Amino acid sequence: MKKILIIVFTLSVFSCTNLDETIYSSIPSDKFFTTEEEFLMSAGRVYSHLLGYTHYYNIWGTITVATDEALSPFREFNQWDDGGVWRDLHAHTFTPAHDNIWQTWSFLFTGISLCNQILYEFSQAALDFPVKNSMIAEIKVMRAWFYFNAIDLFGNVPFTTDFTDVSVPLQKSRAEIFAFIEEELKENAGLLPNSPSSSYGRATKPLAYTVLAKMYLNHEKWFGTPKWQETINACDSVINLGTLQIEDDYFANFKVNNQSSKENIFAIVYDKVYANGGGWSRCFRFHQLTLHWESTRTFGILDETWNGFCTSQSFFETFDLNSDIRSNTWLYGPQYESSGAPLLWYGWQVNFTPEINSLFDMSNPAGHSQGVRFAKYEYENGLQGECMSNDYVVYRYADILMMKGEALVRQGNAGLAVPLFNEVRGRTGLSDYISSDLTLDEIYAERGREFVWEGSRRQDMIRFGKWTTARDFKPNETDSHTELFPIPARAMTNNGNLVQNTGYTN
Amino acid sequence: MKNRVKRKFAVIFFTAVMLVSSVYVGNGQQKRTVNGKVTEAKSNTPLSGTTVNVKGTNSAVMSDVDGNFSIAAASGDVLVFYFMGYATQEIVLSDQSLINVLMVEEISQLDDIVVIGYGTTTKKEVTGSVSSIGSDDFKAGNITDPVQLLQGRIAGLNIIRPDGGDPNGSFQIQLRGITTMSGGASPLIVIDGVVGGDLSSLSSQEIQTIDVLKDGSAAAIYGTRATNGVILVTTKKAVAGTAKLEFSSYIALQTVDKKPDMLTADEFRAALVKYEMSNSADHGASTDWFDQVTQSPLTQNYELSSSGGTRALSYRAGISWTKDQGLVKKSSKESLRTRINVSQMLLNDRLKLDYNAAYSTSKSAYADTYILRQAMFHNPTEPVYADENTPAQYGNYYYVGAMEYYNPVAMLEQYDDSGLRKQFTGSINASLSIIDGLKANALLSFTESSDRYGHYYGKYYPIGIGNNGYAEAYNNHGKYKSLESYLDYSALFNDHRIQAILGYSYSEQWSESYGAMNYKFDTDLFSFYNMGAGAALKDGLATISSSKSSSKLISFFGRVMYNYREKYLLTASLRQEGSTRFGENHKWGLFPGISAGWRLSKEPFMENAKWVNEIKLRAGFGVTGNQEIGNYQSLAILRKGSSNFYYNGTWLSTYEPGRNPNPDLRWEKKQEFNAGFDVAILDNRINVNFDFYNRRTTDLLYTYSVPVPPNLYSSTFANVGTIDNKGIEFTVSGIPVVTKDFKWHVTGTFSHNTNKLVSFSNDIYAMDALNLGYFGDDLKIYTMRIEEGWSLGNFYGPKFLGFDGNGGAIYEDLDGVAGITEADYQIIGNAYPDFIFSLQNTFTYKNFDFSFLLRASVGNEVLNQTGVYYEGPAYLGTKNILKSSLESDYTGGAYYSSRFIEDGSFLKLDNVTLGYNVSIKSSYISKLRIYLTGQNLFTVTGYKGIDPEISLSGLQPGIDWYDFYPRTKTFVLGVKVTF
Repeated sequence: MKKILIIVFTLSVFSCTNLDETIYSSIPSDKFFTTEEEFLMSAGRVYSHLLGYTHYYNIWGTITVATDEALSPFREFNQWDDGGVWRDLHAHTFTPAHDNIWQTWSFLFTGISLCNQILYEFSQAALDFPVKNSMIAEIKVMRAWFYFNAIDLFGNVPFTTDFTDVSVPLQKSRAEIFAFIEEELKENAGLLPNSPSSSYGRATKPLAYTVLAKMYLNHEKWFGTPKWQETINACDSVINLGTLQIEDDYFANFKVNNQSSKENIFAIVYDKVYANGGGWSRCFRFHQLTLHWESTRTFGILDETWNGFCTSQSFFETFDLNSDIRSNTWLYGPQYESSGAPLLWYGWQVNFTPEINSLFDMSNPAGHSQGVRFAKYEYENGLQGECMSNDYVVYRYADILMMKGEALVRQGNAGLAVPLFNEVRGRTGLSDYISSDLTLDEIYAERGREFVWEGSRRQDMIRFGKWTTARDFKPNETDSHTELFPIPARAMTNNGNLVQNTGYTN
Repeated sequence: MKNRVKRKFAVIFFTAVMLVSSVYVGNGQQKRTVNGKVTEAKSNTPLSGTTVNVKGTNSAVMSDVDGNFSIAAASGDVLVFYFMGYATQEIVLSDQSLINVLMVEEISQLDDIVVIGYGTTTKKEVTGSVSSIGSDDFKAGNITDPVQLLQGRIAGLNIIRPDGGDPNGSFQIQLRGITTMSGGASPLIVIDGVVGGDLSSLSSQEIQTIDVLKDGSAAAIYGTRATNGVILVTTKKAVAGTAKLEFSSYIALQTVDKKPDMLTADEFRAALVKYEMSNSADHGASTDWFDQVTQSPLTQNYELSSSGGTRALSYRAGISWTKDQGLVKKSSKESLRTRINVSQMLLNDRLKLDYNAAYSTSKSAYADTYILRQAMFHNPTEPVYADENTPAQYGNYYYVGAMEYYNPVAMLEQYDDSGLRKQFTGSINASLSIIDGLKANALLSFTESSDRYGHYYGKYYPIGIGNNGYAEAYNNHGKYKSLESYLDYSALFNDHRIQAILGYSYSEQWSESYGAMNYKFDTDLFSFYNMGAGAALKDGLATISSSKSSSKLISFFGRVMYNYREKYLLTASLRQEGSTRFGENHKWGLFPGISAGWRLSKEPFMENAKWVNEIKLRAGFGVTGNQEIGNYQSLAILRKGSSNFYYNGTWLSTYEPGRNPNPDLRWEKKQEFNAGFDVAILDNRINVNFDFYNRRTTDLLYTYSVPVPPNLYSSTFANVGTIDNKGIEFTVSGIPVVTKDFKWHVTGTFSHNTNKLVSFSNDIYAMDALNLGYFGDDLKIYTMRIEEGWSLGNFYGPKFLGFDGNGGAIYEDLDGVAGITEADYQIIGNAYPDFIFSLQNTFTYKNFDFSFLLRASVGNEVLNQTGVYYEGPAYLGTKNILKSSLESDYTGGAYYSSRFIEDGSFLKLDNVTLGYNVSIKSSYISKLRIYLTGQNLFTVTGYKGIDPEISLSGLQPGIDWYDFYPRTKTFVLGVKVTF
């Protein structure tokens, strides 16, 4: 008996029941946010999140392949089928199940949630530091930018600015959110620096006004009422800062070291060492998307390239190959190694042709060297690994001048627009515009050449009424419902408050 | 708070049971003293611990160390002598006062010891579903992992080796269907009472028995780790007596069973003509790429073990060395495994100490199955080595530019991938006999393991040309400490037998890892042994990493086994367990198990049925959990972001929340009902076991898609879903013929399981369907789908109706809208078998023995990924295609449909062994055995791919991925000598 009691006693002494976890390699949330730097390192996530923008399955790939400036046809040897995502985007047969559209949605709303969370952290901060208020303004402008993209692509979207509200957000109309963005941009622009170079890669005054200008420029298309004067005013707010200018060399804006460009308003800062984390999804890889397997030897690239993205024949044909310097955007015709020797594949010289057999035809697929390829961003000699170090340019000063010019033309003031367009066009080798040249069709075509693969084409096509028309691999005129993308099926499942856009079934 | 009360209640309850029972002992009727001695018949040594009971009374004693006992009884009383594993003896007292009893070992399997965790019982007393297999029954052959011993031997336990003949491959073990969506799916391994062991560190020769706790009532004693069943391994122990030395050895040769049926170089050239393709794809050579990267592997194994000592101090030590070559060139595994056990009796035999120490090391050179895939589809007209047109950066290897297309020989020769693993396990078990029938047991164990993985890609490795040598190395250190302590009380009161345990268990585990990567080396000579030499480090492109984590598991447990005259049997157990891994709101869980048995054969009305040895009905219910989810999943933590951001001319780090926190995170919970019967007839020559089970797993963990905002991330790890599994298991074994010289023993097993995903949505988390089986290369499609109410393992896609005669194919159009879209997809197959069975036959004739094991699976369907991509000319030109392409006039692209869902039913000859025990009249050698074994000799199947026996674990079973490792036929010659 005694012994039993002793044993039972011994057991209970041993009976440790503490189940708290000991953390070694990460930080408990309540032990952070004690210094200025810790706040900045948390806020910086907004910018590292942007690294996903250029991914071909993310927003850049989605809005670009859906236009006439890019496609990825099904190629011989069974390449680039990818479950049909590229042909569905290009031929406008996308549905709510489309993966890229979901990735795009996810990118935008993760950005919004991030901003809400960072703003919440700042609001809880007992600590005060000099850049606190400007940092808050920056995050608010970035949130406005995410919302601007969201209403541009999806129309009415879920809306919240309060991270502590854990309920599933309600859908708000495009107009309500437009008003929110407009007010947010106007309120916070003043707190931001005037020059993009001092805050390179981050939200600045020129960025806030560029977004505002784009909102007003599309106002007529979105809501039926024009805001041309507001467009002009917003553009002037950028011009009058005097911090930006048109680079003499068009391609200077896209070089490996393009951070010195005086023209770029907002760029996503890529860097092989500091900003390629997360490899697959946060990497700038235009070389892989577009270059032929063998083109690596044209550029001295030491990595594989995927031989996919090219441009449509009709879009390519808008370039004046003899005079327009911008036609060097494209790789076309017979290809050569960097040494000058013909670039051979299986003994045949690689030759990029504008003609493409088909978008998707298993019995007559696109040939491996069909379609003209993209080389506007400088391919770094000796580039190794899958990520380029060039910074991706989201907005340029050329856009400010051409948006203002377009608004003037639409107001009937083509004469005032001429110098603006020519300020940009001067470097191209083409002759200057005179006011009778500036038809809407010409402005549309010129914007196409100037901003190819810069994410502007979709808005342009919609605003100029070209989105729904038939083109190379979109055989028929379609109705206007595709001017908005469908709300992704997964978003509909997650949030019961959402109403799908017209013309789409879940 | 509530949990604490429950826990206390459990402690008090079990303590009370034991106290009451112990007080009850010794209420005998005073008569005269009878003395005696109990002796073990075979060894003629004293047998301590025999229960001596005056029949019909509570009076009972146990024999001491020398076998002596003394008990009060009167003339005419019947003394019952009971010892587990021995025939129970009854002696009627006349007037003698000294009684000597010989205890004879019982041959009936009914008294076979069954290990049930924290103690043992006998086969006849078991009430749960427990299967056992002893060393006499183990398969011979090249056994790389003890798990292989169970393959095809236990109904309901499906064991698959997904990597075919890879010596470094592991086994997948699935018990009674799929019970989890993202937790661990392997059974809990318990080696000599140490929970959570690693079977591969153990030589199969060191194993005495393996017991498998299959149903929830039996497994519930292991709580949160027991959902996938428990495999209890008992190793060979120290045996007192004459010193013994055993030596064994085998060599094994392997050949490829089947390789992918691609075009030869000549057929490739003919195909280019047939499909009117440019002959530029003909590079003029003839290369069998598969042969270029494979070899005929040889395996050698040597083992030595010694045992001996006295009753007070005995030992056993064993050492084994195996070198196993792989089919893929350069791949191999070399293992050294040592083990020592010392057993000591103290305090007048009241205290038994068992020391165990095991140390094992292995050195692996891994095969990259991607090389095999590249070899499969590589153009057979390409030469292996460079010609004058090959660009210099590809070294001496022939190069052709195409997406994800690499010279397999370059991959093989330019790549080294090796691992070193060391593991030490030490344990001490103390067992103290406090009073008769009451024992205290404590097992302290300590395991430390270290793994080193290193890779080196040479300068001309075709992926990442320009890296100029790329090295990676990782070191992982693991530490595990545990205490398992319990009181064990057993007593017999007349017809009532009770055995109870009450215990406490504590375990804590740590792991640390360090890794580094660097590239741009000046020479390949360093491999990964001079990692600082790479220039990428200075360029800021090298990486280093380290991490540490720990977890704890604490539990209180108890179990009572009761029987009345070995006729009515009852077992009840309870475990209260807490884990650090779970959310703040759910740290502790309660896992009860209860089961009952009724041995009809013991009833009076069965007395006349002499041909019946045993009929037992069993039923049980138990709750178990699954905590294999990784550490820190429920907490709100911040981690360093993978990218920096540019801030005023410098790069700042970013810090981000690790995940959406979920303080409600808890274990997956399985409730299982099991019923069955055991029958033995005709002098135990025919044995039948049957089980039916119905198991429901709730609170299934999965990564759920959640709205962003309000969440920060688009997925949260949460407990939501429910899966049901139902099935039957059937085992029949018999001895159809037995004569003086000849014996034929046959065992068949049969099992059938069905599953259903009952739900994966609740009020907060919703999922419409889950698409799985993603084919990423070029196609980017999902091939499988799960919806609520469906069974798992469904293939989902267009239904193939035939070819259209114009090079295309026709698919069933369900929605009437032209073109095949997702609306036309349907369920086109299921990966799980309708049933699996096995048949083991053993014949012994004089000194010869012959055995074979057949395994079969019926009704499982297989998605042939190689077929989807390469049956058809889509890739012809840059790549090779399957020969079967030529059998149809299909000329379209690679397209997933029911055309590639094939019947994967198979029958395999798993093992054939012919052995001979040489009669030796030598004073030095007591036994000599030679044997010849063939493994995996043939497969009968209609499946067109390499092997229909493929992975069935996880949520995307039944896909025969084109990254395959072919299975081999193995021929083994072995010898075993006992000195």
